[in-house]
Amino acid sequence: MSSARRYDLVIIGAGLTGALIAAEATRRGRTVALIEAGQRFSFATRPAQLRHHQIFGGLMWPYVHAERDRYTDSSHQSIGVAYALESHRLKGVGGSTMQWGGRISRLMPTDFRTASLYGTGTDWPISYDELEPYYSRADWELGVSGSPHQALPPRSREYPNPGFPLSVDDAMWLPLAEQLGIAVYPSAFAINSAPFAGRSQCQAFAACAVCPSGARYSADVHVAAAERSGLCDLFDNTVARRIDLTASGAVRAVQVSSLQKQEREIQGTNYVIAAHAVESARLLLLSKCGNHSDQVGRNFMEHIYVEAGGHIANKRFYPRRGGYEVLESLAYYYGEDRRERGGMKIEFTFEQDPLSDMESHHIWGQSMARYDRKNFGRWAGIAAETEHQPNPDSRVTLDPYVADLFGDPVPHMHLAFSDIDHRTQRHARDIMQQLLGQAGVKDVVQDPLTSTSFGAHHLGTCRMSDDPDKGVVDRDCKVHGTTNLFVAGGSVFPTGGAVQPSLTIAAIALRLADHLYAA
Amino acid sequence: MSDERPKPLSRRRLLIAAGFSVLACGAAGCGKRARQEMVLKPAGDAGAVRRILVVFIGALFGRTLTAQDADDLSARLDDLQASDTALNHDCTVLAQYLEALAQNCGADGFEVCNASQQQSIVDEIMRIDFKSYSARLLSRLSREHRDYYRMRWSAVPQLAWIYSHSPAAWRARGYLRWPGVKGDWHDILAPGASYP
Repeated sequence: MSSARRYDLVIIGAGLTGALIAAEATRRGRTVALIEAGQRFSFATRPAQLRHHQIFGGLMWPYVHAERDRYTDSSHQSIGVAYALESHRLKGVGGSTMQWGGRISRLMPTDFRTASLYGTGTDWPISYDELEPYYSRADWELGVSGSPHQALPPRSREYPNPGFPLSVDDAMWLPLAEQLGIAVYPSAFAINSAPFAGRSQCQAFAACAVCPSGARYSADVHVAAAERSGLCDLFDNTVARRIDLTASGAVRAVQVSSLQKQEREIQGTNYVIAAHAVESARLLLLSKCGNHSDQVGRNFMEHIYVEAGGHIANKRFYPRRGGYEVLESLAYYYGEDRRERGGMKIEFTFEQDPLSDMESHHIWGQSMARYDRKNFGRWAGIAAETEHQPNPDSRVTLDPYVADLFGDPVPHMHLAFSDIDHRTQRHARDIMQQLLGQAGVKDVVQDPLTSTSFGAHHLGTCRMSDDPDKGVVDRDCKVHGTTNLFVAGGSVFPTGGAVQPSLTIAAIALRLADHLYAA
Repeated sequence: MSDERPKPLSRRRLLIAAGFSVLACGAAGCGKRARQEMVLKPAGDAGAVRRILVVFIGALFGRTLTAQDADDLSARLDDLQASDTALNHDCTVLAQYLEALAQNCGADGFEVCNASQQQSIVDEIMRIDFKSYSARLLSRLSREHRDYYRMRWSAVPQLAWIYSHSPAAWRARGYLRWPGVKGDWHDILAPGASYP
């Protein structure tokens, strides 16, 4: 069955990228079909969603469809742990921004030139300066709360909201940071510190993965804006299964199926795949598009969190009941040894619930009551978000032996680290030992790498490169060898830096929207 | 095609396999005897099960719960019972087991045990092995063994999760607000309450 309507733009994926492009396109009078494999979430159900998590635990948004979202993974063979894809993404309108922490950062200007500067990774075909205006626009689209700081990349426009100040806990690190000569600053968040864009200021529910107030940005905001224009049709619970590419390199249509296996095709003038690094690559592979140089699915990158912490006996902090932590540092992002290791950003943490030690420490009853009294609020931790170098062996492929709901091969995950990644993680551990030791932290615990030590940042697999033999899309996100097919999102990152990628994802989306429909 | 010949089963491996089988059968027998000594009785209706579990949670965390704490936890257990059949079953088995252990102590029920009795019962529950291979193997032998295993593997951690994410845990630490309750982000600028 073919949709009667032919759209100006067909977007696959209603997450951050798809939502922003849909909103931009409709703002400029273009018709949009927005295809989303997952469901639409009602804002009104968020409090119930939060309560459900407080009772049952597990995934904050437990909407994994067992057959639709099936995948296989062999990461344990290369990195020693499995990659828990289902807990690192959310399929639905708004995508993973429905469950993110909201911490926002720009890539450093050096991240765009790591090959030239350090001999590692690869250079982006675009520079920080080219992306900077879109970073600033993204700040305002998302409603970022931040404070300018000299350690941060240059910016052409102020933040839309004032930054969250350092908490009383964060301030504990200030004298030590000064003593060590480490610049620390309050991080920016896509959480309103003041009412902005029709959304309230933060109401401190302290449960950011489900924001009941809507103060934290989620991309369903822009989907709603696109729909309000009357120019956007949202196809939720609809899975894009194939891109029909003609011999001339033009996409003719997208083949989609509902979860009830009703098939149809949707046609448009231009097509954007914005389905996260895993599903975007999978759709291209299933459709045999853009893979003439065997680059699709390669260079899958994450951010590996190396964490350590311990107790400070003579001081009690006052955890803010969970939620965001503010202090971070780029002191180890650069350095003369950057040719030997990747970048890293340090985040300071104070949330550690002693009650969660029940099973691991074999304590309960009165012992647990004493343990909680002794240790609650005394935790000081450090997390290093470390760079994962592009590596062709770290990849997403199709698993020919396992099929999804529709009989299509499922994505197969295989994360891999190179020597430099191991050096980066070792360096991070050394720094933490040093910092925690100097802060007087006792009983320092270095967390091992686990399936949850990742940032849930899916990057690479459809790398941006001007050279068709080295990448999948060009500098304008157009798939090499095609005329009207684009990929956007974290999948096009040539390198990932060591900061949260969402603002860069948003900036690239806005840049693509400008490319398609110049204002 | 591989030219490698299949390896014959060595005597050593055969002996090891036989040894494991004997151990498994022995463990199964012991486990079955242990379970048979415990006569589980119905713990009552859903409300009675909730009351028993709330008392258990208090004992598990060494807390004397206030009426408000008990109400909050009971409301959460009510949600659990209403929306997850498997978990509800595991929790009901736990309640039955607590009652049976209380009767072994000479009490009419877990709720009316004194603190010392409750603590020894909690000790017994928490010392149930649910991590070893043999425990997992045993859990597959019968529904009875499966229930016993899941009571420790599923129900106890679930109740611990509920408590640690409930107002009861935060009130005990002197907090007036907790995750899920609207507040003021400026809270980060002032020290919180000291542990009472």
